[in-house]
Amino acid sequence: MTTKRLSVLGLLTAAALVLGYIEHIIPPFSALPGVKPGLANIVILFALYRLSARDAWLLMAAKVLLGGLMFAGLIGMMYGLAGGVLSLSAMLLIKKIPGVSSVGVSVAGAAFHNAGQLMLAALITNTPSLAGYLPVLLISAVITGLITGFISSLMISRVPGGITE
Amino acid sequence: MKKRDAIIIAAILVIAAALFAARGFFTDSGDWTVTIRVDGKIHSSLPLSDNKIIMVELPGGGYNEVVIEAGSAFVRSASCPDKSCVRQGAVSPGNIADRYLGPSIICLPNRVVVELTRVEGGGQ
Repeated sequence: MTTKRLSVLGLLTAAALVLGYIEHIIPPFSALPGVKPGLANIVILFALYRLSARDAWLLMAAKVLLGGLMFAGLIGMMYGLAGGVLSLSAMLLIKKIPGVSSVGVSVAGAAFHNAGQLMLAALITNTPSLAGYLPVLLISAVITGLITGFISSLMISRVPGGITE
Repeated sequence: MKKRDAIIIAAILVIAAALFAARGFFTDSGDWTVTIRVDGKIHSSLPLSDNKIIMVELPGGGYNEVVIEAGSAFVRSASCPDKSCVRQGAVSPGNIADRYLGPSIICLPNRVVVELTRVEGGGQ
């Protein structure tokens, strides 16, 4: 790992953690549980487009682990991991489709993030009926995914590639 | 935003709509009971699968209108001054874990509690 790549990853990890922390301390803007902006995904998306898939995985792991230790707690860490793994896997697959921009990738990532967390919640509480809540989370994912997708596309277009080389 | 982004978004919305239409298959509402208590004493106890409106009338003239609908229970209207029970929204098997008040809707001024409980033998 070059010093440059290490610095960029450190910077992006800090950015993801700050965004996660802001989301953690602001009052929920909706009465619906699980509906949140997912701002940290802006950073993950940026890494997907301007760094590499491996760096995106590293960032996601660091965000979940450190975010869990600092504010989300152990249970939050588990949910973050379930959402993060499913979301990033989906984003990597969708990104391969030609003609899809970071906005589409973002929306898909948000949808799978919510689906992953809901699946874990259904498993942990042994309540399969939680699946009935998925439509709400999917619609909220489309809205939040569009917002974070547009923000990340601005970042991606302004920062050139190869910043870690 | 490109055309294929819109296709992805449309696909997710279609899945959401399909799941919403099929949500009856996921609910196990038959295993749940809605218990309404006034002053700690049971006022009524009904299966969640019932679609019903229960008017809880209080000795002092107050009321709480409890609605059981589509596998969830909520207070539609109440005589209490703060209407906190109305704002607490619906409780359903799927959202107990996420609600601050868990399986309950509580009206403190009227001392009315609506609680969702799993019926014995329902499994957990």
